[in-house]
Amino acid sequence: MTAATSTVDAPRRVALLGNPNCGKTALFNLLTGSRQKVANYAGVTVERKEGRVLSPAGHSYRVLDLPGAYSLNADSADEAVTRDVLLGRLEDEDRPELLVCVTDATNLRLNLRLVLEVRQLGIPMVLALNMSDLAARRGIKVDTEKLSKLLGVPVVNTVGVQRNGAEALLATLDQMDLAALAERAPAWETPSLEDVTRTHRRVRRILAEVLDAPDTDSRYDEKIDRVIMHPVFGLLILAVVLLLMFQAVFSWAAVPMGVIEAGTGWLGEWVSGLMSDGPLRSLLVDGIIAGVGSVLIFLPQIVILFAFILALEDSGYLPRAAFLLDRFMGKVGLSGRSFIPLLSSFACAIPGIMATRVISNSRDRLTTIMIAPLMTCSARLPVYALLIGAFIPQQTVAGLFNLQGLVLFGLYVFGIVSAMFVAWVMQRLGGSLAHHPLMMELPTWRLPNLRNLLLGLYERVKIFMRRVGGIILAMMIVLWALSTYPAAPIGATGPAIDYSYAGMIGHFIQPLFAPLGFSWEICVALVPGMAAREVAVGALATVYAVSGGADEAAELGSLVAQQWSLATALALMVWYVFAPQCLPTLAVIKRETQTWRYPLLAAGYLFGMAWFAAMVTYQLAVALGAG
Amino acid sequence: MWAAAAELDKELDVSVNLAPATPLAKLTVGQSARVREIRMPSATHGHGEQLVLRLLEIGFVPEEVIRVMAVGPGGSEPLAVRVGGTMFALRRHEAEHVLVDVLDPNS
Amino acid sequence: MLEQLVVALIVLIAAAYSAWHICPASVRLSLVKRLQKRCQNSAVGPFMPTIARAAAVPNGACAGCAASGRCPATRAAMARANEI
Repeated sequence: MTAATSTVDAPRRVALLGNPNCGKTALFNLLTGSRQKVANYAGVTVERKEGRVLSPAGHSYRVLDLPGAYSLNADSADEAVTRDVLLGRLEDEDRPELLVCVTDATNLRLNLRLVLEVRQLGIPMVLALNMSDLAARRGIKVDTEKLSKLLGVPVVNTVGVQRNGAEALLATLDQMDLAALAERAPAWETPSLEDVTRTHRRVRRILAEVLDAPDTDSRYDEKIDRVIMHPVFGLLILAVVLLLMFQAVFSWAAVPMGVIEAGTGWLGEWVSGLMSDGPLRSLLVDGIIAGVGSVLIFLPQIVILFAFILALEDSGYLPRAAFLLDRFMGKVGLSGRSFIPLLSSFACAIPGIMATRVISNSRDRLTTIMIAPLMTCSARLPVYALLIGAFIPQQTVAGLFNLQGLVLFGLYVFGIVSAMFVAWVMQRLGGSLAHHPLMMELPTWRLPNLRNLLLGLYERVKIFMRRVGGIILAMMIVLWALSTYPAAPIGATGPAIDYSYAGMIGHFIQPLFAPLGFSWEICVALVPGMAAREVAVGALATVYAVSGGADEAAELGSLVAQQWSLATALALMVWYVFAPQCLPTLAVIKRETQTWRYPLLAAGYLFGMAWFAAMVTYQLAVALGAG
Repeated sequence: MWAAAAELDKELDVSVNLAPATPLAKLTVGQSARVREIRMPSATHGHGEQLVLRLLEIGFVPEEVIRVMAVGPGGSEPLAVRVGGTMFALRRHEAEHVLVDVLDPNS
Repeated sequence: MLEQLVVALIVLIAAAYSAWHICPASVRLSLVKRLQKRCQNSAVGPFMPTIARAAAVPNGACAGCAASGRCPATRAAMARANEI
């Protein structure tokens, strides 16, 4: 907020309302920028987003982004909150003084119905025709003046993804009079079937007068969909898209990773040269530079992975992928709606778990929550990448794919397949619901917005760097201390590190993991890895650096290749497919299901599966000669 | 309750089709149809009334022209139906509620 | 000797920081609450609300989470912190 805020009038409360997929969130971000506060509505796990904006005329607004809803007749917790806020039924929430009904200008047929429904509530309203740039490009023309006259509310064009796309909206809001609002809206009841039908007819009549849309506007959409949603080609394309993503994660990241590795190596040598041998130098080189450097090196891969995920989300592809996979999901008792939360779990399981709020069937939701941790979270990536980098040769398969990317793809698929297996088991145990609702919108295709993408990536990189500089750094230092002290007694025969605390812990745990082929160093690394998965890689780097003496810090890949057998590497990869790795995931499961039972159950079955699968993998690999 | 809807039908002077309507679930890819009515569920699903209301709200109202754009792998579900200006994926049993008159592509 | 002292100090700070971070926010807040009762009239007293809010921030394991800020646990923690 600038210092020149108008102090005369209190900020006006305005709420954004609209169907899902109308670009409301982009508009909200455009208005409020970084001045957003995200919290929760009291008593429910629905996200509450509020921000501030100062209009050019100097008025201050508190903007509330209501959850997307198709109707006031709520079908899910999200929609119930939207309805309750508008009706004033929430205790801690005042009714908004102004309402902006956000519609997709290319989809007024659907969006206007809600507008008519909400108009009855009597809150002063502005109708925003969002995505008006897209509409113009498609030759869709709306007579905004006539529409405004027919509806009795001001109508403005907005473009949520353009810098000045909300100027007209703010200008109009400035001119609105705040009507005196009753504390509660007049009693509202579920509309009858005829009410809804009548509203639709009214919408049709209105659109007949104001809308001029060429019939061919959806043609190119249809052409794309004919291929993407084809039962055979569509699935092929999905597989190719995923494969491409994983290939890119290795091939495109190679150069930047080399740069970081060289930089870390150089830094380690420089510091070594500066100082004389001693605990401080060891702390800096073996602890900090080795440990942190080995995690930092995976930053390019994370950036590439997230760039793909964000682009896919933005483009509208994900619901179509969910459509294609629905049948397989259904076989194990999930609906296609579970897919999007599951794909988000590729980035991090927690938002994926929270995204299950849109799933109205509680059994589906619970199943999705329970298997979300199995979907690889991006923090597993460094571990997979390390292992694959060390053990899988850089070969080209079929002239097109690199083997490393294929193995990574394989690991992800393995994660999905096991998730489906678990879902199937849960279905058997819990009895399945006869019908899994779907009714999912497949929005129009849109080009991912570069600005949003870069913003999203920047956020991600910031989070990662903060983590590296914070908890990962701290734990590397602690682990270094544990690996260096107590120092080996005089006349000791084994490597010094065996006598340290870390060595003691590692050797103590190791018998438990002997059938899996894990060395004690791996066991030590697994422990801090519970707090943050990346730490496991850094921990390995530190432990090997300490025991290796003067070896270069950044050569963890080759160190691992020398010391471990292929069987061990495979077993460790399989361990990571299953093992619950971050406590916060379990904590969020507890929050979302309101009981300790499910997170404990999840932890139990995940550890169990991890141990068992890794054991089988190791024994099998040894038997086949890879030991 | 449907008497009122029938009244509205007459208002718009629609020639009543006496042929039996087809459930949406039976249409194949590429077929267009006009919605005739939404059938009330026969009390087996438990969430019947809500489902019907939601179908109406997302655009499956009488007179509306819809088109089946795709069917999921396996051949029967889900159905991707274009309605109004958007597309929805429906389950078989959700689509069973919608009765339509298939439109002849030559008309 | 000095070198060992420096190293020990760094390790101690790192250990304290790690311990603080790994603790779930609710545990941290209970700690702060108990401290507040004792330190109410001492010099540290006025700083308690700031410490409480720092205790409620989702860091450590939650820091890398893409959902931070939207997490119900965070909101609950912040609410408790503001009472202090």
